[in-house]
Amino acid sequence: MMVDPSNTDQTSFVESLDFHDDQSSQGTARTPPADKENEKLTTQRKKKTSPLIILLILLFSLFLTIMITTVVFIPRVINPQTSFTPTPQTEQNKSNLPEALTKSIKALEDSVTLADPLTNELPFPPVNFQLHLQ
Amino acid sequence: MRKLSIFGLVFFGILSLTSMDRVKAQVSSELKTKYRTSLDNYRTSEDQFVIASTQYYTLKTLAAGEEAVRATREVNLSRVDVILTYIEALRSSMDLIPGIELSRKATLVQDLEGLVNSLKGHRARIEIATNRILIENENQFFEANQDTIASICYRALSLIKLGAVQVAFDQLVVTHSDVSTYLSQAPMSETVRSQKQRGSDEVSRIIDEVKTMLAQTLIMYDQNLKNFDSSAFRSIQQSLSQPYNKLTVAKQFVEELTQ
Repeated sequence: MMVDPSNTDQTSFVESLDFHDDQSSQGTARTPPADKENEKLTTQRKKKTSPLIILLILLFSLFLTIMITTVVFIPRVINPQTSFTPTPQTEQNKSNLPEALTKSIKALEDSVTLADPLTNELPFPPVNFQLHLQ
Repeated sequence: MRKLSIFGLVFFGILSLTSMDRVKAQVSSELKTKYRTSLDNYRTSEDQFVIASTQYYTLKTLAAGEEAVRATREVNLSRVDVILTYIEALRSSMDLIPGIELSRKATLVQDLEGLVNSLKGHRARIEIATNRILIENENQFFEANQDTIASICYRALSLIKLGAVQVAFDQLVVTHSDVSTYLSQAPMSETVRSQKQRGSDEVSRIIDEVKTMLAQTLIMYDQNLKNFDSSAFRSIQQSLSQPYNKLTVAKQFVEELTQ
């Protein structure tokens, strides 16, 4: 349809234009179905997140988990070590003990260490008692 | 002068005891090495015996038979050597531990000597055995004595374990007494003194408990005497675990008391 350029009336101008609906009803400039599918696919591809982005998200979440774990647990691990460190006062007290008492405590430590019943330095010999030549 | 001579006697007495302990420890260590070497020799000769006997069963020739008899003699000798060295190491360990109850130790030593004599006789017979029949007789002798050998060895191991815990217990009693004397003389506030006293009472309670547990383990040892096998030894080990754990706790308490 031709448009008259001298026509300044907007209503009649709009009415004179061919829209897609009119075209589809007429079937003159219809988009082929294959093109429509292609368009759909491209939009779907655009919508789908790429694997690289997923990988990046995973890495980031892993990093976050490590950071949180480190922040939460590290003070708990460090604290016992610091709490077990004897204070200078305790060290001084130990050195002030009489020599005989220090020796006695050392002997107790040694004897308790050697007394562990579950260790066995001399297990029964693994020899074969049923050797025969017949 | 007299005081000086008494001091000298005590000093040299302690010195000789210490050096004797060192010698004993060295001997025990050497025996353990000797035992491991004999065990290695046994494994090698057992491999050779397996090869020679398989060849004899396959080939059934006189030469293969001769070789099998020779290999059997070798493995028998190295096997009895392992047991003899092992018994020697057990005896040495028993001598090193003063906590072993004397009457039970004496009975066991007697049994060990009997076993050693029997095994030495077996060894001497193997050395002169030249044919398959004589060697096989000695194989049967050794197999028949398997339970006796195991029983005596496991009894020795059990007494060694019992003795070691007893030594730790005796030392705890001595150290606890030393700590109590030290605390009674040390200057401290009444609050701290009563706190230390409560700790000391706790150690005393542990001492009583361990004493009862050790007595029960000795009863268990006596009950298993007729059939002392590896499971009886494991039961003794399990039974000793409880007093051992108590001793570990008491040791910690004693150390805290002196701080």
